[in-house]
Amino acid sequence: MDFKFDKLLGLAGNDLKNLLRDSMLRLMFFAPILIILIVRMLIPEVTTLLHNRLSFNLAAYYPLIVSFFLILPSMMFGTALGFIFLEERDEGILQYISVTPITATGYMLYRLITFSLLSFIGTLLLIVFNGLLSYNLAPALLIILLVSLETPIYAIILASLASNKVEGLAVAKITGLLLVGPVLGFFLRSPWKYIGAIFPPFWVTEGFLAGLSNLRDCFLYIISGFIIHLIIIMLLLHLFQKKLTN
Amino acid sequence: MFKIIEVTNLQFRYAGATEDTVKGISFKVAEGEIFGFLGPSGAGKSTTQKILTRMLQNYSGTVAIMKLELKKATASFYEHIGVGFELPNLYSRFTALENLNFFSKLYSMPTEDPMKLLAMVGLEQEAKTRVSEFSKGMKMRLNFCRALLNKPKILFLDEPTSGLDPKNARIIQDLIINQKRQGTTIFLTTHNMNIAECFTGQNAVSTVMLSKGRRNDGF
Repeated sequence: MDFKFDKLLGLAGNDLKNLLRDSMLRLMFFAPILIILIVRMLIPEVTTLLHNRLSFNLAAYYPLIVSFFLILPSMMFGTALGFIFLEERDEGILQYISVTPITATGYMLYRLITFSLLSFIGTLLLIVFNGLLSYNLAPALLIILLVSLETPIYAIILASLASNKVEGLAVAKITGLLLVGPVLGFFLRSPWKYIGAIFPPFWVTEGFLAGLSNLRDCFLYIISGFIIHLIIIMLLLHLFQKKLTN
Repeated sequence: MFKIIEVTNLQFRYAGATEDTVKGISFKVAEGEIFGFLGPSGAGKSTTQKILTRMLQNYSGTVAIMKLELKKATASFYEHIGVGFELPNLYSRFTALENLNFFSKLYSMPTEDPMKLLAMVGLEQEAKTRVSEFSKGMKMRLNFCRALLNKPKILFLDEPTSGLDPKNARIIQDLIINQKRQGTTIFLTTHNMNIAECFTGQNAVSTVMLSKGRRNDGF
């Protein structure tokens, strides 16, 4: 593979154009901004409403709410990338890319890195502008880095398990089950909550929540999370490579 | 004449297969000629072309392209070859011009002016039309000019006229002859045994017949 900066800009411009021309991909691309608007504007309104009508204090659950929204930008960008891969395989684009100087492996790598970077930016914006709670910068950056690693996970699951875009829609629903991890973490007590540990988002939300009170636990979750995420990515890349060569 | 492709005792077996798909074939392609690689479906033509374009690498025997053993080649090898696949592989959401502009960014060497290429295949009026609105013949012509973007020394074409009506097939054949006149070596893979007739009157046209992974033409 042969990477140069102007080449990368060209590829990124092409991806952006491709994303914006499809209504579903366009929605996924702008989803992080919608999420920020919902968290920032809608949640406080609901909080006031619940307080006035039912004397329920939703503010006590703000950490839970923010931690849940935190895992969505990666999911959106990862799913969008998975659909782009499926479409490019349908149209034979990946086959053509494999006989150009950039090679199929180089192209995949570029895509996984740029979309993870987009997730990083989207999640960073969410943490900075959520308006519900503030967070320490150092653990926040590590948690954002960790959750960005979920973009390749969603993308490769979709591209490996589905053969076309229709199957992709079904697989995307299944990948939504990864959100079970955080839910188990929220509602079960230790040690039962660790059943959720096989789902990557579990480590993100648990790490985020621990970071509000206990930095030592937070870092333990983050380190374990990195190991789990990287193992899953390696396994999925192996699966995808097999699918590509078949 | 300089042999731009030299293949000696090439063998290849797919993972899990019980026998070789390519069973020890040898041939040479002279620079600037149209080389017809003929044979029925399942003869091993596409596998051989995939080996020559480095898409398959676990072969035995030797394959030298431009005097470079392919196993030692790097990704920059692709700066010098053009490939036209049997099925057009293009972004349907993009226009013809956007497709060519995008693919030309994948090369480091100077590339052809996309509008010049589109004019050459008679698609200049359709430059700003999305490929999703193209007919099969138009897509094949666009596929052909995409393979020329990097001014390749060798052009690999897999069934370039398959599924085309006689008029569009003729256009592609004329484009191939035109490329040959400009000095490009054409490696043409096809099951169409009469393809050589299409290039009657042209100098430097040779063919190799393949059947069940072996040469079937007495060599």
